Amino acid sequence: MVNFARGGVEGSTETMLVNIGPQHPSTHGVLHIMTELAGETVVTAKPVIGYLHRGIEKLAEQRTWQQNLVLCDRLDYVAQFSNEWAYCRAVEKLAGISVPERAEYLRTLLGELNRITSHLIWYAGVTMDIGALGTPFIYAWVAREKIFDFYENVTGARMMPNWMRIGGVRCDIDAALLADMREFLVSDFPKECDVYEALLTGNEIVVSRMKGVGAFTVEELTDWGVTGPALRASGSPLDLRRDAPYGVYDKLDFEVCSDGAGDSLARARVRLREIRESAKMCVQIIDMLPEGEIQTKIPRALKPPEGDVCVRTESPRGELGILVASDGSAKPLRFRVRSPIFYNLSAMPHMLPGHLLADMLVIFGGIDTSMGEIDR
Amino acid sequence: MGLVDDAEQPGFVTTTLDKLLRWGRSRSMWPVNAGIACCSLEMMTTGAARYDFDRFGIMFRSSPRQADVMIVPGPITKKMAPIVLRVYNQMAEPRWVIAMGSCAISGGTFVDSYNVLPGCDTILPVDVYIPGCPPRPEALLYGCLQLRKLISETSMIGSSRKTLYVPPVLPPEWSAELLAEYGAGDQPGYADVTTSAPEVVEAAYHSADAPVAADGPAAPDVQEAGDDEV
Amino acid sequence: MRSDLVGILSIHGTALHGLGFDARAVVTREAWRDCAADLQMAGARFFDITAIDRGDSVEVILVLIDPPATHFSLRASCPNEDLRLDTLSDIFPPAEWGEREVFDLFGVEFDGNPDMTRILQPESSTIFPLRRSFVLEQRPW
Repeated sequence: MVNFARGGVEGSTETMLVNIGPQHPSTHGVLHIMTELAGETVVTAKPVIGYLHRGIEKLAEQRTWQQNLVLCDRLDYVAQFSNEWAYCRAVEKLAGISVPERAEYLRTLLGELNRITSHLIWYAGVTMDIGALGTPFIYAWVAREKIFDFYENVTGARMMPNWMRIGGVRCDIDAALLADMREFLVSDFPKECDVYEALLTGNEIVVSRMKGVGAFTVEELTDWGVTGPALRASGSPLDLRRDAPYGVYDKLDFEVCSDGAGDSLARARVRLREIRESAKMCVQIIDMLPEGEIQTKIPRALKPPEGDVCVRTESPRGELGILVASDGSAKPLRFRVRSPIFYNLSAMPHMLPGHLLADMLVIFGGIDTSMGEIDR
Repeated sequence: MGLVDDAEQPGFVTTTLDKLLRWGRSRSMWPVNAGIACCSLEMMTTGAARYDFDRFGIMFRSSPRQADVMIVPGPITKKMAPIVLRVYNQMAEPRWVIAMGSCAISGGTFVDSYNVLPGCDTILPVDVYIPGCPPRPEALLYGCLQLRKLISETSMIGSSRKTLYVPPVLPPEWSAELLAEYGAGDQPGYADVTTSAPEVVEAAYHSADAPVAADGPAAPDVQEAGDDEV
Repeated sequence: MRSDLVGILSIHGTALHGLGFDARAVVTREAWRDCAADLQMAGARFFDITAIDRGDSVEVILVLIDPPATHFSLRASCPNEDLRLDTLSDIFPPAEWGEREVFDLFGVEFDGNPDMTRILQPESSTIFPLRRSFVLEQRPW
């Protein structure tokens, strides 16, 4: 057996600084981590962000309430519908607008499909990071492309749908498309999920890379402000879809996926189970979908009353909060995005020290970053 | 390239070296794996099985040293601009840039912002622009085929030197160190690293007074090649 | 909303206004840190820290969660002449980054934050973009 140096050279206190990113294939965007290493072990890690700071919060103050939906798509570009939905809910709450029942169902349907595609991006990314170049990535795109075709048929765009509207949705979904999607989710998708699980949690090499790596307790993670699947993997049952239901989640029969182990493998298992749960929820929604209106009548120049509200949503990455403030005019006074990954990433300096450099990217993959939302 | 009909042995092909190089380079474009924003997801999709970049010989390389095409898939912010330029300068010549999506072309949705450059052509010499927000994978493929056409029509003999690209106008927000690194000047052009004396290269790195070519990379290369023979 | 949290707010000379999800309490700058510390001891969870420019002052907003579902906000106003506030980064660790962001975008300095530097903008930046006094350039077209 070869003993790899783990704690630096014996008797030496010298450490090495390594800059990972911002142009790095494993950082999923333009993230920069300043890492101090003793041998192979991380001593300190400091994420440096802002390489994709586009000033969305300022731009939103220059546009009308409806126009801002375009910016919401581009916040977290992996989970576009979640962002649109959160923003619509915030404005609807501020202006006291109610949403027709069918629109709520359709929103929930697209929100859950979005969770699937978002987790598939995570799946492709995390397997690439731990060395499985190619195979799982290609497989993840099989189901993703199928769902993207559905997005495109429904909204007209693959990635930036701009489909939800304040008070409803832009266009209805054709019954044939829904039947087609249901058929896919019932018959083909579970088989795809089997493949995903076999390639990740059923793969001995992957399991040995992930098991026991970065195990944290619920108390630690809560203290560091981590939310979402990363927190649920430590055994927390927190899920806003269950705790503070919005959309039609209170009418759906679903399981909050949590796992007690708290390590990187548990985070992977939770996300894989969430993919299956989301597919089940989508089938339920398609079966229950009522007929009716899809858009409430709202004034063309929407002017919500003075005040501010904060709305919390369970996005695929955690608790997404949108805070909007109005001064009674046609443009927002303040549009604030509480990004779940921003705070999940702020836990990295606490999480990484003591781990090997190679494990760093595994832990990093466990929180599923998307720089568009962190930097805004 | 053409088959020689009266060759004694069949199967021989005659061509010029230039054509052969162009053919080879245009059929093996290796983009650097630099995902910046939303468009990088469509870039990944194009690399996946359904659209399959590999069939055009396009393979993503993680290191800029191995790459010859840079796809800029997103808005360039003021914080990112020096890094994008550095990655570009780390790539070996000849190199090309594809501006993917409206953000990379003009700033797109974020053109009004205080932190976004109005297009990546303010700091990089862009060869192909692909519109869309984000462009569909088919659009990206079409753009790459346009670049392939461009490469196979441009002579590149002698243009494989390592050079430093200095953008015509450097963003004024850049700190003093960065301005010094890329030359604080207002003159565009390249400093030739392989043929120039080390002091000249050093000067090109640090000031605007260095000898720079007036009109891009192609023209001086021919002259330099002639000089070498003398 | 749990009664002990409401009690803590009244100790610090404030009360909740509004009902349900968007209850809010305005505290003085002096009571800001102590009130947050007491709420943390009573089990409130950190959700977000942000700010709104109100013209003559910047209102810093701390959104807390009363587990599992309710949230409320604690607010303190900083006048434009004196944009300072005590840090909460040792009470709520994630607030360190949140405060850095408020500093970067609004210019509110948090006394005691270990790393009061710009987080999103480049370090060479001199602007506080989300202040109302900062106006974006108009496009020529």
